[in-house]
Amino acid sequence: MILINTTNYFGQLVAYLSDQMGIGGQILAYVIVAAIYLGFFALAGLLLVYVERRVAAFFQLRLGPNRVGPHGLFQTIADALKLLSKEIFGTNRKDNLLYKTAYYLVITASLVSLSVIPFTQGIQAFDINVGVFFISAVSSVGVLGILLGGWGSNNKYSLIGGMRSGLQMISYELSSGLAVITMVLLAGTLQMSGIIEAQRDTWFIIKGHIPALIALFIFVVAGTAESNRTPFDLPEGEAELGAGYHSEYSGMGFAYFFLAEFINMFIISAVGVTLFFGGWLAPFHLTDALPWQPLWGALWFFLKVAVFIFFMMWFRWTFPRLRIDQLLTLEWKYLLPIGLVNIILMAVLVYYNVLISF
Amino acid sequence: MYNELKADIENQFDQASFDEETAKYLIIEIAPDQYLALMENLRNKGFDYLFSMTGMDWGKELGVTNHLENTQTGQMLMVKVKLADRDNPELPTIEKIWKTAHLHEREIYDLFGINFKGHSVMKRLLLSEDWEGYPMRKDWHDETKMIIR
Amino acid sequence: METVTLNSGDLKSQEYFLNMGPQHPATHGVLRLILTLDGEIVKNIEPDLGYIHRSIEKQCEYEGYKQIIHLTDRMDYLSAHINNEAVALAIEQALQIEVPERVKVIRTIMGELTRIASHLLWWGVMGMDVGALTTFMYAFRDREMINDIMEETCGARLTMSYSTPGGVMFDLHPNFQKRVKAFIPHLRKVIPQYDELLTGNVIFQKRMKGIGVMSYEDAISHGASGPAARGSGVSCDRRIKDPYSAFATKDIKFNEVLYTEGDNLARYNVRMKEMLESLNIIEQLIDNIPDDGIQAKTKALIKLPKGEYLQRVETARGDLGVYIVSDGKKNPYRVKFRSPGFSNLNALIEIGKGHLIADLVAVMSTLDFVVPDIDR
Repeated sequence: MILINTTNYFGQLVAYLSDQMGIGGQILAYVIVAAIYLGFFALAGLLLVYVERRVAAFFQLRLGPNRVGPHGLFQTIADALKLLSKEIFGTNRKDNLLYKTAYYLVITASLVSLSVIPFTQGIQAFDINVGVFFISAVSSVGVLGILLGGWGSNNKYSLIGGMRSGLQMISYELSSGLAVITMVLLAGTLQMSGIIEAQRDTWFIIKGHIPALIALFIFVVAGTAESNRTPFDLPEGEAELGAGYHSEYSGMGFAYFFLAEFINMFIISAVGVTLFFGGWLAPFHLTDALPWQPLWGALWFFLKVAVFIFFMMWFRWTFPRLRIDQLLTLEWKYLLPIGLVNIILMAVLVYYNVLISF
Repeated sequence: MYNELKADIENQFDQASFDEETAKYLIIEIAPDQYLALMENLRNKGFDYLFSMTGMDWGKELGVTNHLENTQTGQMLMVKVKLADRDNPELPTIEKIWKTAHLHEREIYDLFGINFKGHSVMKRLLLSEDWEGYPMRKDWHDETKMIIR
Repeated sequence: METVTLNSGDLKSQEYFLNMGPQHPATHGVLRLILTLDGEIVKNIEPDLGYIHRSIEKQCEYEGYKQIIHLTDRMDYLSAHINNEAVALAIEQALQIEVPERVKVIRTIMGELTRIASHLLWWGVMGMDVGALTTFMYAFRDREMINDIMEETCGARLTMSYSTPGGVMFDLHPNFQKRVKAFIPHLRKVIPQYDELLTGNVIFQKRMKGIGVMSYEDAISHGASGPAARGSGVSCDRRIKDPYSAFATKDIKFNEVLYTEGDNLARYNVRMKEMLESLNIIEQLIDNIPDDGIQAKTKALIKLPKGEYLQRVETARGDLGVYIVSDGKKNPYRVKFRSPGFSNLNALIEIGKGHLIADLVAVMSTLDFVVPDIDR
């Protein structure tokens, strides 16, 4: 077990304010941290939608949004305002409670997972000792939201979409979990900051060599599937099901599902970067000697995440969609057995210390 | 080209008459009660492609014109059948001989009101279920829906 | 506490209906299919047509022969020119007009361009149906070039109404040959790119192979025609079987693309290869378009002699038949358009059964329906 002794700026803020103002200050600090996260959530969501549209346009011989603001940067903000001002209406016979709970579950799940991601040195809301485990646990709650949305809409297309989503996400949760465990074997801890600290000299993708590469492959496939993106966008499958589980949602109800999809993509990329590519660590200690370490850390973190996200967008705009049985075959017949064998391989390598490290 | 076929049909079906006004293909006119037998006979002679079924309204009679093709030899045939009873026109279905007749017969039922006995789904196809009348008949008039110059 | 024992027989699954269309992204228009589903498996398909039924056949009975041509654009709007040509040919056949050689060549080139444009659109939409969204933009980029060529000569991009009884509306635009010659190498260059993007993709291959199999006998029995039937090995190209326009008078060499598997991939491959064949045809004609006028002499008011006339042509979707019954007046007594899509839809009812919804969508797009063509 590696002992972590890094400063946590959010922790310091809470400690400082509760010192100054007692319990009121502590609550104030929590509210401030929550507000920062909500702000980041909204901004990242909007930015990712913008990036997705530009990247899609780049792949599709188009220009994409380029009218509102510089390079069309404010386009998604305008879209968000439009969605906010839209009337929310659904079908008459929807199950109102489930229908309205659904998007809160989805959005809460992705917002909560965001809290344990180390954006840079010391910027992390909770640095709990089961960080990775926490993420996979919390992100599973999102499935529930999608299932409820599919069921509560009282629409057959939504129902089919919801059921597909349930099948898909529960299956691929296994594979991504196994890929995470493989890498945790290298780190010896589930704590996010600990995992990064363990990579200070060698990133796990290099340290773990072959099993790490296999784990990365499994993780990317399972991650893409978990975030419901092409080639695994069967729950939506617009050519087959209209819009799948969110067919019956309008206005912000739809926007929540939409934002959650993009934030999930960010979370998966962030976890991937943390597990395989050293999180906010600079490659080859390039910027270790410079001042403003947290800022440099953030730069490297977001750069790596951006590359990851670009790859996921690349998949989306070039691959056709799988069929549901092919999807399950891929998971249960290929990814899961490979993942299990990979864990054993990694365990053996770690035990005999056949690892690359500088 | 068609002489052998013509003689063959003449022997088997006493109610068939021929029309060779268009030289390109043979036109057979058949009475409704021998229609199914003739069609089965033609299918066995190698006319495996039912090109189209056309509903017709000849003023007095309703009827169906079938275009048949032999995909091996390229021969074409036209089979006409006329139904004198305008109020309750009925024909046996040929859906079981050529699968394509399934939709064609539904269309003819919809637009001409010819009932194909034995068809699996004898419902309106193009128009809505509550439509009254058969619009492709010559005596169908609608003041609001038709503009006639 | 009471114990409840459940036997496997107590739990029953229930089939349910799903209303696919008339507003559904995969039905390409207003086709409505009433599906009976068991889970996601399609047990029964019942088409409900007529959402875009304009009774073109009835309208024709009240129009003169020259007007009819303009109605046919609106049937299969992706092969608009070939539809026009079919009616024009039927009228010419009835009046026994010999049209100038130039007209025949122009009609054939235009027809082949239309076919390519139609197949390009199909390819783009086909990709969308299986979830590859980028194909649409690629296909439309290249289809736009054909539309521009059409616009220059015919004055319209989609519903051209270019053929008239006895000839064509306008002479070719001076740019026509130049533009077509620029287009041919361009398409030859981009079709391998298409293959890289979609055809060679392993997911796409797995989605297409062995799905929606239509046997040779079934294809004939269903009255399938065009690429849908040629994917099952049925040789049914009207351009070869009973040549019309320049196919009859010029010595044009091209192959009929035949695949025998009868599945989605076969139908897909037929269309991809057909585009190249169409390019070959255009290439053989474009350099020597005869110069003998664009219009044969016809009367201002066309009256067909009493009789029945049938003209079959090969549209992008298959075998279009125009059957005109004339009683000698200025209006036809009865016009029947035997549309290829109508018969191909009949095939879908059978070959779509037993597949998943996702496969049904793929089968539908390889059969390439244009709904106005089915409804007329």
